[in-house]
Amino acid sequence: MWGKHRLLMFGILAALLALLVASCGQKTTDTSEGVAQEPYVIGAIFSSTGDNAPLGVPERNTAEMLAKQLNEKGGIDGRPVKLLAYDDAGKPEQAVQACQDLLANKEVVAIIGPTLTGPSLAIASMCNTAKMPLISCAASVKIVQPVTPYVFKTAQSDHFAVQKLLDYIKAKKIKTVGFINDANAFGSSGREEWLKISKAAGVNTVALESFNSSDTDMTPQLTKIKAANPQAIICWGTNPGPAIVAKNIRRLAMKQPVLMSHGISNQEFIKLAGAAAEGVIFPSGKIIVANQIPAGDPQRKVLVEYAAQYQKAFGKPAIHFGAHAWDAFQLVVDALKKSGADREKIRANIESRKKFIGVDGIFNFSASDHNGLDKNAFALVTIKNGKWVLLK
Amino acid sequence: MEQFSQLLVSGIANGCIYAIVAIGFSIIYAGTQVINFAQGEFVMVGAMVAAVLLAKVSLLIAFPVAILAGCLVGAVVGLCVLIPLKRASVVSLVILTVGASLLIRGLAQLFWGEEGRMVPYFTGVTANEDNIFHFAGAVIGVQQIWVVAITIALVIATHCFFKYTLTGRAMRACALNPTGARLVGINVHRMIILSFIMAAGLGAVAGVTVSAGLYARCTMGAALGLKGFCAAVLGGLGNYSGGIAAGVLLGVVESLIVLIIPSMSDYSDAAAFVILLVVLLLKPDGILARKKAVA
Repeated sequence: MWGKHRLLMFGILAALLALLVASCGQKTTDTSEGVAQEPYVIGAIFSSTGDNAPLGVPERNTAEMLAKQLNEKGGIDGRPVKLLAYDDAGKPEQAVQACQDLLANKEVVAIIGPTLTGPSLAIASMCNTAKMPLISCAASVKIVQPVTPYVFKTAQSDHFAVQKLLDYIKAKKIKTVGFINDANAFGSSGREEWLKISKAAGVNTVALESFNSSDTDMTPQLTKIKAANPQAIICWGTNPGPAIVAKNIRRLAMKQPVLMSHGISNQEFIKLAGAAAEGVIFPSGKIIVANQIPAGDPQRKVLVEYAAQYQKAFGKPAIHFGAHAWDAFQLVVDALKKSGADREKIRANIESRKKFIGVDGIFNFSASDHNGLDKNAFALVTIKNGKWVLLK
Repeated sequence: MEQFSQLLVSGIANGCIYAIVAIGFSIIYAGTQVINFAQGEFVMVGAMVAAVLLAKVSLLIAFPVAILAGCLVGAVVGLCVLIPLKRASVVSLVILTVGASLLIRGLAQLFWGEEGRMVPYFTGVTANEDNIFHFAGAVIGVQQIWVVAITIALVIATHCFFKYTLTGRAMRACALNPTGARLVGINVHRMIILSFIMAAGLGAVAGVTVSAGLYARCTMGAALGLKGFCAAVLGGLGNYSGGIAAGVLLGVVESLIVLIIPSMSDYSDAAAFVILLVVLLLKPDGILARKKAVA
């Protein structure tokens, strides 16, 4: 009797496990069907599962969409592009594994991603040693500072986000600030940048706190900030933490303006924070307000086009994070057009690329700058009636 | 002072959740000597089911259904533990629960996706704005009152169940002496499944309560489960009142510790584990353990 049950149980367990395993791991998107020529293989590592899936999924979607579009138009001089996309679940060790796989594949011409700072830093030196161009989609300036030959990134460095926010703070004559950050790589890097730049700008950080990504109550930290009575509160983190911070600020009846980072630049923040999201001001890539960008802006065409294509393909608005993958993918394609599958030449092409009009901004790469952007890549955005509004 | 009372309020509210999870650990441990690492996932299942349902129906329907869903998952995990119980060592059963937790989380991610889902406040002004009032310099949200009230109700209910009902007494008997219990005609297997169902139901209640006003997410179980585990061990595994006291204490300490650690408040999470280590070294049976007679 029990034996039979046990067998059944194990059978079910095995089946469920198999299902689970089948759904994880490598997802290859073969976008090269029906084209005879040998494809260019572009590797990709995104956090398409795990806590940071809301960032990684739009990136993977974008890269897949672009590869498909490119191949439908006949590829690069007749050669199609094949995207080899891996999921790192936001974990450095899984990114390392994916990177090893990609490095072992002789056909891969470049890697785009990872989504997050931690995984990007974890594989940066591997790519340099293997002479593999890596175009990261993560925020931290540490990925390209100090500059290493093969590592680039498209996401606007947090350095510029802090500068953009400081411009606003100075304009509003705010002198004291309470700062709270997520203890993850994104939050701590933002905190470092903030402390470095704000001091020089004469803004005083009167309270400094942090929280863990999985924390569900930030009232204790905010209570301390409240006691320090700063003129504004800055929260630097990725969802869902900042949404809870916004709600806790409301609960504690704190009246100061709330400033946040580009880490909240997706729908999830508005959805989770609800009414508490109203009036929050943050620097963001221009994509989320693409249609509000003035007509004279050289980026407008690219922004509006990408926003419309993404909406059409996935039924969701394009966000900041997908934009990083757009730029990374197009930079690689741009280099491939000039030089073909030679990694060394791809690297050199990207490094010398000027005035590349991307979704994140206008890139001017050089031997000393592998991000190629400045603070103008950010726009200040606020939330009104649950919608993003460009702050003028 | 204002700061202190505010910190105390959020500490107690968080601690209550740890306490409920800790009771779940203790119930299963008492019945099987197994530490059920899927306890955190019961919390997640409750929260996620409620979150999904609340998009369509009211809390009065969503809450009980979420608890039922939690109980169902609990029963399945219970069966998985029960079937090899006689042959397997406790360690392999514990590992089995670790596997079950990964499986539950993985399946939840498959079905519900990765994104956090908003869960409205039980009785807020709007779905995401709570009623608040001021007391002794602290701002208290009505949701926090709900958390404490639900915890107290659960504690009383569990206590009465174990003390006054036949089934509850039978479960205690199984925990004390399984062979003896079997001899007097108690179905030990049924009691074990029941303990899993109860623990999972409690976990689900904790899940719905903690996520209200915040969010539910497939990955939320691990952190809460770990804190509840800390509380259960601190209070002495199998010791309900100890677990409850330790849970609340843990929440308060975590909250108050931000006063001591300047600007690195994320380390408050480590507090739980430091306390756990110290207590395990000094009082391995838990903070409320009575002195054992020296043999």
